[in-house]
Amino acid sequence: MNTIKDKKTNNIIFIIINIVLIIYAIISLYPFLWMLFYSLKDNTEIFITNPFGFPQKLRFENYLLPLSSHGYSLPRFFMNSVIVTIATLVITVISCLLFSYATARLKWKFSEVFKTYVSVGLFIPIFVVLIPLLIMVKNLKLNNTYFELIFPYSAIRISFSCIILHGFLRRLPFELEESAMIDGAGIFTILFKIMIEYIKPAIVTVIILTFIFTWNEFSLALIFISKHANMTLPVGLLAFLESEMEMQMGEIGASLVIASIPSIFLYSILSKKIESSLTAQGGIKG
Amino acid sequence: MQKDGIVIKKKLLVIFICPVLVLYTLFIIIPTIQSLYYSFFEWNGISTPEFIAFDNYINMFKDDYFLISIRNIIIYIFVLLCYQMVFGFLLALITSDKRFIGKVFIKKVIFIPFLIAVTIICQLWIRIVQPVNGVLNIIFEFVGLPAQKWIMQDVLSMFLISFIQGWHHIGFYAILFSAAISSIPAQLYNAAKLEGANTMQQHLYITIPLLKDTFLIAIIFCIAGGMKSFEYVYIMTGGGPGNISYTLSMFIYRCIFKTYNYGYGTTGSVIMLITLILATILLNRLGRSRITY
Repeated sequence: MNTIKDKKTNNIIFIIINIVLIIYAIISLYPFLWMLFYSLKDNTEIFITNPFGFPQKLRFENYLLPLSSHGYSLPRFFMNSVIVTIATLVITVISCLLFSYATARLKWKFSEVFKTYVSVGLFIPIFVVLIPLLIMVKNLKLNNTYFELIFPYSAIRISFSCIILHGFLRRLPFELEESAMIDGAGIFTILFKIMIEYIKPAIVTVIILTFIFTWNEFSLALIFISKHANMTLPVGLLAFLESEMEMQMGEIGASLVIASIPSIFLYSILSKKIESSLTAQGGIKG
Repeated sequence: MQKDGIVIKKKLLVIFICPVLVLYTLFIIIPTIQSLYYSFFEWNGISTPEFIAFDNYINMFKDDYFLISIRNIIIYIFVLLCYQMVFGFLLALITSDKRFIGKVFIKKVIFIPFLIAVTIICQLWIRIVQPVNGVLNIIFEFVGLPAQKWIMQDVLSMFLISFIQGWHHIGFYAILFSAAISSIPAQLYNAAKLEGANTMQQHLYITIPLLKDTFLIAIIFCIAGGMKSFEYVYIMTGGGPGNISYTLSMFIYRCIFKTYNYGYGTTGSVIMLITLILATILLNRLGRSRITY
């Protein structure tokens, strides 16, 4: 074996890959930094003097406009987004967990069929469904309630979430349930007291992905919501931006930062959990 | 095909599957069927629909906008696949390798674009790829190269926008592959090392075959995402200049919201749907035909 030659080439490759990675990491981090920076600059700095660098003067006053505006209440939009997102999360996670558990771990005649049925939704683009859905929501008298968003959002996330959960649940060995069944536990006890520990990483993944979708969702919310008071953050933000005639780019940036904070916050809390859960070997021998 | 499973009473089973089935059928399937029904009509959303059978479909294949969309979407999906599968997998490999420092940090950072809304991502990248005052052209002029049309260029725009979407979502794929890689027992690698395999061989013969299922799911997600993709093109070029950057979704959007030709628009959706279903069936067949351990 040419050990010395191999080591040298290995080292060079190692360094090159590290450099590429660092560059890529910078490119991935930069957009949020850029947004953060320009939310603290004024128009001249943003467009002419210093578009990409650190603000020369930190103009925190840019944040005052979004938080204090008249007519459009950003806190209200924030609240609406929170309510819709949390409700969607709860409904999506619980219903998909039950369904995926049934298709992945329970034995019944049409489990494959139903699993495929639910997967088809992955291929359906939103605006195919948009107009009939709008009519249906009106017919169900859900319009102008929070549910006109919550139910459609949950329905949209079902396909994706069930696919992920199903794939994950399939891989767990059946010994886990068998020992509990011998002890006479009912299926709900098995699921929610025992299996839940092993399923947590997949649930966390579904939570994060559903949260990101629902929080940032724009097209459906735009078309469905008619009253200003009911607007979620992305839509309300746009309406707010369009209404303020003399808006500075920096203030726009400030509102965008405010809108992005929850996603980043949630991710920074949950990412450790996702990481450690996904990479651990899982207590299957336990 | 899974034959094992726990058997429970039918009444209990109903509780498990009902919520999803009701929500999904009511809010996704039924509206989709209603939409598809209208693809056989000519309807502007207000007056009475006029039944025209397959006319919409025939006209569509003669429609320039549609044909360009097809060409564009093929390029788009191809680029997206290459980027997300290859680079996502490489990222996952590298960050799973114990020898690289800072891998946890890198994993987190790569995921960050995914958290940020599409509008912001597009705003940033427009600044870079726009022909007038775009960062790329500024760099080009500085170095002495001729300015390019970038996002206004015919096929290049598809490459660029596809790259941007890929960049936005790559964190998801990196983590997907990462999780799958970490479920491979270390003994396999140890055994291979003992037999003299270097890193590349280890990955070629152990990692890649074992990740086949994950690749399959990732490819399906990727193709579906690429085909449905709308916001990126809409925000960055609006389909233009002219119609060179039209994708299938832009086409459908234009039919429904600009020319108010609702029946025609849903025809495009039907074609999209059928293509995706066929692609999935094909991929599943390919996936099953090879036997791994």
